[in-house]
Amino acid sequence: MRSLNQLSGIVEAEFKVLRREAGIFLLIMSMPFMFSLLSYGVGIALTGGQAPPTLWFYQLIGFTVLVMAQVMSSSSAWYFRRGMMTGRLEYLLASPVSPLVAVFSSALANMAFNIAYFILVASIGVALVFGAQYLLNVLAVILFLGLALIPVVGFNLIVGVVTIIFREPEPVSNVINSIISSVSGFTYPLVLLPRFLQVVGTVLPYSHIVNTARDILSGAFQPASIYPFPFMVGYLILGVLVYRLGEVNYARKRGVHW
Amino acid sequence: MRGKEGFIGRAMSELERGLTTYSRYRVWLLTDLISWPFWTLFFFLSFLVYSPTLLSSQYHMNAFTWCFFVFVFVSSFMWSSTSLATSAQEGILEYVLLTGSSIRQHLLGRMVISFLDLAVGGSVLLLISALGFGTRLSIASPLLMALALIQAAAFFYLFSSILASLLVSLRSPWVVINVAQFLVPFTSGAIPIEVLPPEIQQAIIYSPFFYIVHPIIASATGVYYLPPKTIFLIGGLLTLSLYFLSRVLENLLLKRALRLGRFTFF
Repeated sequence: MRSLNQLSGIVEAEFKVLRREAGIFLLIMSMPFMFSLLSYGVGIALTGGQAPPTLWFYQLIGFTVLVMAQVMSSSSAWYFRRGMMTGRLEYLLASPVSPLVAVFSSALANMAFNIAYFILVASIGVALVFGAQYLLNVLAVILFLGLALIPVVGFNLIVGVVTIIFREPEPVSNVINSIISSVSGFTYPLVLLPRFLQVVGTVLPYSHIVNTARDILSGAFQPASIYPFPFMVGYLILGVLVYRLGEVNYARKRGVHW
Repeated sequence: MRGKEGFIGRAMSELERGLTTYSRYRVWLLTDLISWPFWTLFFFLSFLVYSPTLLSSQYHMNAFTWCFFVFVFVSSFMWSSTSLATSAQEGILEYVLLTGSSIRQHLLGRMVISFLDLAVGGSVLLLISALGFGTRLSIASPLLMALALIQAAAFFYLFSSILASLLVSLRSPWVVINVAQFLVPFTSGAIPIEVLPPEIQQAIIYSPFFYIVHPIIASATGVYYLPPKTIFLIGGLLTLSLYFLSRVLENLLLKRALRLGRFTFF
């Protein structure tokens, strides 16, 4: 019960912070449109006007999930960096609040922010390409993303621990973001990648998330496509384990001061 | 110290500052080496998914490699403009300007990092394109390419200093740069002009950035949209205009700072 109270309190505080940054929300919302339209423009040029709008939609949803992935991993990295710089993390480790609950709550707030962002972008994309009658599919995606993004939180816990060790969040998130972005099939099918990168992409959770989200939105969803998701819970377990190992063996022994 | 010696001394100090900062964050170099190959792959396939057959066209692969090289180039320079806001927030800028230095000179320190980023990112990009995608990289006019790169470095150095002056009071200048780093190159000639529809070709020449970005791509592909002399002449005039504009803006910013007690245009 105490953990639940802590969780809801931190989520509420995180939402207050997010509310103050409405400009960032607008910028993040514009990014998938900007990137996908830029790419579509190049596509039109390369194909002599034959680029299909469905491919624009494919990339729009891909860029949206890509931005979500980047926001989640960068936020985790910056959460730890800010905590170290301001000394908050040191107090957090000394307080009766479980750091894991704090980090998890922050990630949950981020997840809710990302789902809201996805709904807005996807609704515009669906209405433009498939028509307003497909807008109900967006509701199904909310449920799907709410469940599918939980394993990603585990992934972000690993990012957090790595940030504590390297102290600089940008290099850490830059490497992780570059790998995730290129192998997860956000803007092109995995088959265009070399074989070993296809395997990496399949093992990571994002290719399954983005493909299933696209299928749900376009009405092509098959129940069989959710079979990898139970395995993805492994990321959550792995994330918690790595985080606990890092906390006990590194953070608590060496301190988390800047 | 005033005069030529003072100018050189301050410029050298800034260069030293940049090199020291870069060498202190060696992890950046390591992560750049890991991440650039992946970003290169991402950029190539995101564009070429529309026409995967072009992956086997040597002409297009060469042209698009230089297109992404221009992106790395512009991006590296533009990010330096956020450093002025950081200097102002940390209270360094006031002391730097008291030494008789200028904003352009102060940015030199950060430009060194941009050059190093470009050297690493650009080289990795070319390498991955050649080894990973089998692109036979070529430059149709090496001399014009050298000229185009020098002109672009001068132009984007001055452009970044103008941008830095305009963004100095923003808390999150990176938001603007994040968008501008894509818009500037890709709407102004980084995408080989010959693959664009005629209407866009005619519109794109009205962008001032076109005369800076296009020569780099055109020197590599050999396809100039306008005669090279005309392009370089306009590009040179634009760079000169930026120099004067940056001086005017800097003076305005300093006057406002003396009046208001803080660095801001807004």
